[in-house]
Amino acid sequence: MPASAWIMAIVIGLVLYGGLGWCIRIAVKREREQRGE
Amino acid sequence: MAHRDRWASRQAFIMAAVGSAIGLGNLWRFPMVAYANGGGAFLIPYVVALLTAGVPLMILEYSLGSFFQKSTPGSLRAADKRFEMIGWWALGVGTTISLYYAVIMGWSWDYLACSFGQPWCDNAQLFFDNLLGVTDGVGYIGRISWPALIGLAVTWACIYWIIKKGVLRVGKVVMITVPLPAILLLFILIRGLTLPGALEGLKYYLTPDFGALTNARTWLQAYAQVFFSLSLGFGILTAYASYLPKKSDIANNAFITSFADAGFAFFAGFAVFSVLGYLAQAQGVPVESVVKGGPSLAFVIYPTAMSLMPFAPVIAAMFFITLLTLGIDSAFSIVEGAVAGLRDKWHISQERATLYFCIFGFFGGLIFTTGAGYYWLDIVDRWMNDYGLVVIGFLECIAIGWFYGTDKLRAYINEVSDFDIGIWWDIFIKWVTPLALGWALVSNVVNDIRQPYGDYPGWALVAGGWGVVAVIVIVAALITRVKPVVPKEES
Repeated sequence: MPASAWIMAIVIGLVLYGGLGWCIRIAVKREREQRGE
Repeated sequence: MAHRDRWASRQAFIMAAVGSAIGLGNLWRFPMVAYANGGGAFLIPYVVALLTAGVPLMILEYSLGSFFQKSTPGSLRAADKRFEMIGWWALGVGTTISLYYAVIMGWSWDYLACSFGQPWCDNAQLFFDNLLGVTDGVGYIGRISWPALIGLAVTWACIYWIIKKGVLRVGKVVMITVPLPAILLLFILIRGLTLPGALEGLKYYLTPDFGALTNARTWLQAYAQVFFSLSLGFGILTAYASYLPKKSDIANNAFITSFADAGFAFFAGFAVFSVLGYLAQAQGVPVESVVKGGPSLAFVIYPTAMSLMPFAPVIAAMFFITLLTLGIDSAFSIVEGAVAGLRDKWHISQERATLYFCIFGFFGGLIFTTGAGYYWLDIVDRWMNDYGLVVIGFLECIAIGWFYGTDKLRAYINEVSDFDIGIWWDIFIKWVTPLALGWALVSNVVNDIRQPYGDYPGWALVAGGWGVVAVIVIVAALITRVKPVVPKEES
């Protein structure tokens, strides 16, 4: 596979799974804060 | 206010919404659209479309349900009485889609049953002739396929069982049906990647053709894929969000659902193309000759590839369980959206509304189990997606963006969400999303005038396409004219 295909896969993977992970992290943090209250 | 069902937890809501969004299209549509529109380069417009149209519209649909605490027609009616019809239109389109979606799931039950107890061997003849009994043309109805009929009955029985107790049971079911296909697909992917030719297949999926980015069609396809994939315009997300307590997050839930859906589609592409690469190498043909989307991929190409693998029955069973679990939560979410609309309007019980809907769905889907059913399914699917859903998304944006006012909803969203959304959301709802959907709509009309869809006769396109759309609009208008039943405690 050409390098451009690998790079594209990695970049899109980072955006999609990184974005998902970041949003889940915020949701978990918010829920913990609410439970703490 | 009448008692409203509630999700057991935020996780249950997110899983149900993700399950609704992730469906068969993630597996058999996204990888093929990417392949045909620039390969890896397509992922750029896809992510842009996700963030500029998918997420904003999802936030809009969630916020309507959460703010008004009603299903789609009820929420739109609460915003402005003139908008209620858009909601019924959405439920009409969703209902029509559920009729044939259940039939496709019925085929999956049949193939799953075939996976056990006999050597797995498949080809186009088994699917089109033996299972479906496809006739020579759309005008020749032929006979009802008994395996398809039994599969259809099993599917509706499952949907009835899941939905009849409301969202509490849905919340439990999705804890299995959402992660299970991801786990099974991971196994299939690992198996696929260890096969010869897999990397050649992935090359076709991922190698970017950046020239495609200058083609308007690539961007159009990206917006269309995002819109169809996220369950937008069905009336599902508003109904699901109406079961959230009023102070629940909206913006972050929309981002989580959208990223999960897109992430699954991206991942499914690896599983599909690694196996296609193996099949091409095993048959000694170029990869492009085995690339097919839609039911042909799931019921002809993939089974053919699996029949060449060691432990074919196990792999095949895993694949069809993946299809079933992918499809079932999308199917029952459509039904739940419609049932919520009926309950809000007439205040009938969940169990009764579900029973009526499932009986209607079973009999309504019979046409798709006949010898001409495959053709009718293709026509109705095209019109529901390209004209039904797109028009609803467009009208929702116009109704809320230009008449009700995005500022009121944005203030509510920011009050309850994990993070604030800015004025960008107003701009997307008022301008970007309706322009993208309007552009898609005009392109579809122009294309259909230039080149009528498929090789079907004109009368079939009128009956199965425009005719079905017209019936949905008329029924939506008639239901809108009926006054809602006010429960005794409210009156």
